[in-house]
Amino acid sequence: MSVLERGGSPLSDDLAKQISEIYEAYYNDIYYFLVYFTDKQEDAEDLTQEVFSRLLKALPQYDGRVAMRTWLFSIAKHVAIDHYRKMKWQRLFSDNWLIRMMTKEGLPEPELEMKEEMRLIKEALQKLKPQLRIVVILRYIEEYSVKETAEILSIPETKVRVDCHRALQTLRKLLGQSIEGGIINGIAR
Amino acid sequence: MGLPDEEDQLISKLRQIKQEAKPPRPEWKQIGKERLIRQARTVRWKRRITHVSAYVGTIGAAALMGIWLSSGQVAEQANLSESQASSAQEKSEFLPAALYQEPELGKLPPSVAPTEQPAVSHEAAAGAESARSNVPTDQAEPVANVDSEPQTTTRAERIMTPLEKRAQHFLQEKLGEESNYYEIDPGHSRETEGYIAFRKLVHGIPLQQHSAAVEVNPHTGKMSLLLYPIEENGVGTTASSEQSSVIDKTKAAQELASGLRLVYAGKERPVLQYMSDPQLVIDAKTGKRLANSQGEKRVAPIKTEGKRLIITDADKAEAVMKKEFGIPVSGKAFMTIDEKAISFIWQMSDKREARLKTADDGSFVGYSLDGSFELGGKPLSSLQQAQDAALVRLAKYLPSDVEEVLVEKALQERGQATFTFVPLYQGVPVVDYPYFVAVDMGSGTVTAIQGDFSRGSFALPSHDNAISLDEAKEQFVKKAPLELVYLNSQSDPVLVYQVRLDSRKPWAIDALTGKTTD
Repeated sequence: MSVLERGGSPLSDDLAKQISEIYEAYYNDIYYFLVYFTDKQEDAEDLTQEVFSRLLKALPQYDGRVAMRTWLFSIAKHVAIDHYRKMKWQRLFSDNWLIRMMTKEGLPEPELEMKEEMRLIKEALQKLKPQLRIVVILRYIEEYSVKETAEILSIPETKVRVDCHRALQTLRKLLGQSIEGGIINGIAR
Repeated sequence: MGLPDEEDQLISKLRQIKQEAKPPRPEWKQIGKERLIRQARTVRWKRRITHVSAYVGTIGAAALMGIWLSSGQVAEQANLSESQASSAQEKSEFLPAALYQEPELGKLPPSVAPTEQPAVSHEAAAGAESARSNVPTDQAEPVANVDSEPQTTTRAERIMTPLEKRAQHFLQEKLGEESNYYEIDPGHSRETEGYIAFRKLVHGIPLQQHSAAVEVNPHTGKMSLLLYPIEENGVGTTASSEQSSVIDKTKAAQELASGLRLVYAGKERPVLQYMSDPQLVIDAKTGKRLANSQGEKRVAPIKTEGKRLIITDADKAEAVMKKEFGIPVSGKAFMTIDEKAISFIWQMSDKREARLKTADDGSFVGYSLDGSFELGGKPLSSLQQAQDAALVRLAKYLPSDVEEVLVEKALQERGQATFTFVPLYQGVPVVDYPYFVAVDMGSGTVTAIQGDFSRGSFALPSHDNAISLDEAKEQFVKKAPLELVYLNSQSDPVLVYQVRLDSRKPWAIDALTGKTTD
């Protein structure tokens, strides 16, 4: 047992059980955060696994001073950004990316307008810089408070507010470029 | 930004993404969980092995320490007697060590200061002049004076590994000047896994708890920083008064010396060492030992058989599980093979899993069970009963010349008792051969056993020529690098003295020569 564990870590023993309990308790939270971030179920599942895997390595040192959810989200943030960097390069050489770029121009049937609208919002979200995207996900999709978001991201509340402002502004611009007319255009006007 | 209602509309649309998101697939979630549990077991075992077995000396560090000492640049940490502590307080109010260094060194945190010019800690600075005159220039030369100061050189004498340098640089990049308040914590780093731990300095005193870590992906080289917010309330706020009332460091060293024990250390060729107890800490105010959560180590007699099991294929593995251990595995085992081990894994109904592990030569290393295995045992009512059950299973496979084991660790938690036993060879613990056994209290089943069962016997050098414990203690008092840290236990942080860990190895001296083993 390490000196740290000697310090009273509530999670110093029975690692398999502990990680298993944490996994059950927080899997969905982390998965949804990452699925919003990547917009891909498979990627989100892989990255969620990576988050818990990273957590496992540091878990014996966990002493309960930081809420587990906060800790997990801070790891998820790093994992998401790492993924973004990796994908950025892959996209440059990916045929699929080109196909995706082309298909977005396809016009939807009227009854699919709502879906198309959502698709465009999701697409715009994916175009945000990762740091801004994370703030938007936490604040507006996960609906965390400014304080909670600041805590998760380890940044001041003022920065959360500024980033939110910038992110919304950017989203509106992106949506404005994406489509003409309809609700989206209304939003983006 | 546009009009507020436009913003609200956009936010409202963003919220709808929640309804659109695909839920996680249960089968993937389950697979992920199983994978994680397996990983947890591996991590846990690796940590245990690393912790107990990593005692091989780092000769280079010792040599550098010698060079550094002989260069006369050492600043032995001052004895924090009241007068000196007051002096330090006047000077610095316990400023972080980095701020107390020479200007060019001050740019770097203590842990990254160039090794050629070791940083001088605040404590060292407080009494550097007097300390210098007391420091022997040749560390290898035995000094008879037991009252001489324990060695208290700073971490800067350690040469950082390339990975530590990268991690330090990354931390500086991310935290800027704030990184000056962190130092590398080699005692809790796991370099082979790309994990470099840092601890925070509060008023120049390290907080002995997790503060930050840099992870370096061994495959891609990518780095990430794990930064844990630290609740500093109550830590260091009364640093000055606390530190002025700490006990004399020599007294602390004498108390810590009581944790020394003679051991055989090393895996291939175990050698005799007097090893310090890394769990032992001394309350810096009262001079008393702080309670050890693991309890006292006890010796238990054991009648060993030295049976060797060699498992070469899946059929043999199945036969061993059924006949040797009475574990009813079913279905074909799948195998995982890495450089040093082979695992046979049976995944059965009701999420039960059995795993048998061997070394690459087929020697039995251990097995573990997950899930409910009804093996006809009886519930156990005490830790002692569980220990008896564990020893019965262990006895058959331990080397035949082992007659006693040391119960290094015994814990009962969540219906399971776990033990770490270390064999005693002629009464001396062979610390790099730990054996781990887990027992289910509800059924009395031994659910896991693991260790090196490849030896039929130990043939180790006699300890007749070892120096006496008193001599070892004397060396310890003179040479052991003590440090003051805040230990954040369940209650308020406590200022303690401990033996500084410059690696994951406990401080030790060669029991034949009396020299420090690094």
